[in-house]
Formats: sequence, structure tokens, C-alpha cells
Amino acid sequence: MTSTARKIEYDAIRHLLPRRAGDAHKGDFGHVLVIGGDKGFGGAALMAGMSAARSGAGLVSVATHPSHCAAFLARCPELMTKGIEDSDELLTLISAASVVVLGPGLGQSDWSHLWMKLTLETLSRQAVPIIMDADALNLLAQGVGKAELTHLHDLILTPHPGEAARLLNISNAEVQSDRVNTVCKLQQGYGGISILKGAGSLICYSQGERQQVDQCAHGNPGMASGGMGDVLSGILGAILAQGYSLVDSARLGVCIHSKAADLQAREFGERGLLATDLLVPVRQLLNP
Amino acid sequence: MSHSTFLADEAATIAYGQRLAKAINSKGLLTLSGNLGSGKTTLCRGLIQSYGHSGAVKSPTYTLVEPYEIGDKRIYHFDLYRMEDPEELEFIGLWDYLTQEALIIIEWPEKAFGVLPPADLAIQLEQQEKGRKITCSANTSLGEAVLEKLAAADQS
Repeated sequence: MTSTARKIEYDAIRHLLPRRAGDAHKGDFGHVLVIGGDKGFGGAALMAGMSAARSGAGLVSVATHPSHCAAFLARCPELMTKGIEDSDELLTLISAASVVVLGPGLGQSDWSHLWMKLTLETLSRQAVPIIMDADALNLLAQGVGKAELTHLHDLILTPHPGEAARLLNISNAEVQSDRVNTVCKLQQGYGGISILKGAGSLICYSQGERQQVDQCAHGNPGMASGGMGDVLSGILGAILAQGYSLVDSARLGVCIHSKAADLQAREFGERGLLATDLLVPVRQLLNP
Repeated sequence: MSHSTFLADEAATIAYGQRLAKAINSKGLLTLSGNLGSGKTTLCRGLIQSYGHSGAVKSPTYTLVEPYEIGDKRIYHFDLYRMEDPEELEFIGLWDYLTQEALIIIEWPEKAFGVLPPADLAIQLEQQEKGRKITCSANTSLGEAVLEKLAAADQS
């Protein structure tokens, strides 16, 4: 089932980004719900939320640990930040969302297990697309939510090589020695779209009977810093929320994320590139 | 013996909780079953607040049990949704609670690994197109007495 990867570039797909209609309102551009940010990992959820907002989502809510709320409000008042203390609060947020981003800073505590279980169980009955990243993938590798996932088809998984290794129960070295094969195995196992991050990020999805693998032509080593993945998950969520197909969202999101990093690195260098440095160029690239 | 009715909205669920509170008189074992979002906690809110509790009533999904002391009444509200191990029931001392003179409400009794004694009243909430169907089934004479009081209140 292994295909060779086809290179994709921002310039080749930017035509998918038209101007907005003059009479548009925020309801046209969806509502992204980021679920994550256990105690001590708030930054990840905040960055995912901020990048969803900078990527054009109509509304962005962040469901996180209550201790983070004041800080989130101070940093980005545009986000609707809710500290989650009981299941009904989370259920209410999920029912209002058009896309869920589960995982940034989710952690692997009891709190984390519970929210992941609740989210996947609820989504198995509510057709809302979901992006699973970071600790959601680590928990998935431990079996949490595996049964519920079989009912979810509008799904994008975004593992980095370490997470991919855990999901497939192989070593990091094995992942990296055949990345195309790895991403194909992931996509085959979980359905939807699998994105294997790393130099030349790979996007794998099914096209009829076969699997297609696209490889992003952009990106640089400056992206090896904390939060880059969280920003990507926010971008993907926002593009999906604006009505793009799962495949187009994945291709656009990955290219824009990496190209934004290239623009920043070209101007200021690779070392010291921060995830939030991508937010301004991401916005620019989404408005060609 | 069982009693079924239709609850049109959240207010109706709360009102039913209030009627249940009167009929139960704060003693017994109640189990609450139904999917996420079916109104189990809303029903508990109607019930517990009508005994005089003035604060919020949330589902103790994370803490597993929330105790209420209202005057001389004792109510223990359990949520077993996140139970993964029968040992956890030991940790929270479920058995100690069951031996007390109190009203015990257990959401997600299915997660108790079949070790719960029969509930006086087993309540099922089913989501319909709009609203919920609630069914109360009695498993003990205490439960039957409650259902009789509910039916009598219906007629008055």
C-alpha cells in the first residue's frame, strides 16, 4: 500500500483562498473548540487557540484547567476561555463547536483521561470533525478512546515521530527510517488523515481504493521549538471550521505553517524561532 | 412496578426532581442511568436543591462523590462515569456510605462492576427528539412506596 510522496507547495494551493464576501458574519467561519491545557501545560492550549483565531476561525473557545483562565484572558481576550470543572460544562462547549482540537497540553493525568473520554464519546454521536494532537495521541497509544475513534471519520491525527512511534508500538528510529510507510500505516489504522510531522511533513489520506501521500516542500530546523505543533493544530482547526474539506485543510494548514516558519527564519534566523512568531505570517499567507 | 413520563425541557426535569424529593423524603438508594447530556445532573439539581441546598449542584465526574448536609439530612451524590477499576470503589468508601441513613444518588451505576445492591429506585433518562423520557422502576418496598406517592401526587 506504500505510495511515493508527492511534493506540495503553498504557491500551488493558495488559489483555494478566496476573498471573503462583503456580508459575511462570524457564523460563516465556524467555532473552534480547543480542549487541553492541564495544570502546568496551559501554554500549549493557549497557542492552539491563538493560532486558530489568527487563522480566521469565526469564534474560538478554549476548554482548559481553571487555573489558566485569568492568564489566557490577559493574553488573548478574543478567545472564549472556560475553566472546566465538571462534565456538563465540557458537554455544553462541545455542542456549540463546529470543530474540536483535542490534545494541546492535555497532559496524561486523571483529569486528562476524563476529558478525552468524554469528548470522544460525545463526538461519536455528534458529527463534528476533530483534530487530535500531542497528549491526545499519547493517551490514544495507551488505548484511551480507541473504541470511540472507530465511529469518527472526520479525523486528523498530527503525530510527531515520537508520538507516531508510540501509536504504532515501534521505535523512533523505525519511524524515521521509512516515514512514508509509517504515515501510511497510521492512516490505515485510524482512518481520516494522518500527518507525520518532521522535516518534509507527510500527509496521508485515502483516495478511493488507494492511499495518497503528500509531502510539504517547506519548513526548516528553526521549527524544532516548543509550541510549533500546537500552532499547527490551531491552524488546521480554523481552516476546517471555515468550510474546507478535510484534505484541503490538511494540505493548506501544513504548507502555511511551514512556509510561515520559512519566512520568519529567512528574516531573523532559525535559532530562537518561537511558535507564536508564526502567527503574523500565517495570517498573511491565508490572505494572498 | 414503574412510572414513566415525558419531560419537555430542563425546567420540567427540575420540577420532576422536586416531586421526587418530596416522595423520597431523603432516604434510600437511587440510581440514575442515561447518556451524556440526558439530564441526570439536572434531575439531581431539582432534587437536592428542593431539600434546601442553595448552592450549585454539579456532576462530581472528577471528584466521584459530593456530600450534602442540609439540616439533619445527608445526601451523597455519586458519578461513576470515570470508574476504570473496581478498586476505586473501595478507595471512595462506597460501602461505608451505603450503610448510613442517607439518600444516595448514583449516576452511571453501570460502571460499578455489578457490585451495587439493588436500588430502591432505578431511574432511566432517554433522549427523545425534543425532551426526555424518564422511567422510574422500584426494586424494593421503599421504592414502591415512593412511586405510589408520585402517582398520588399526579392525581391530586
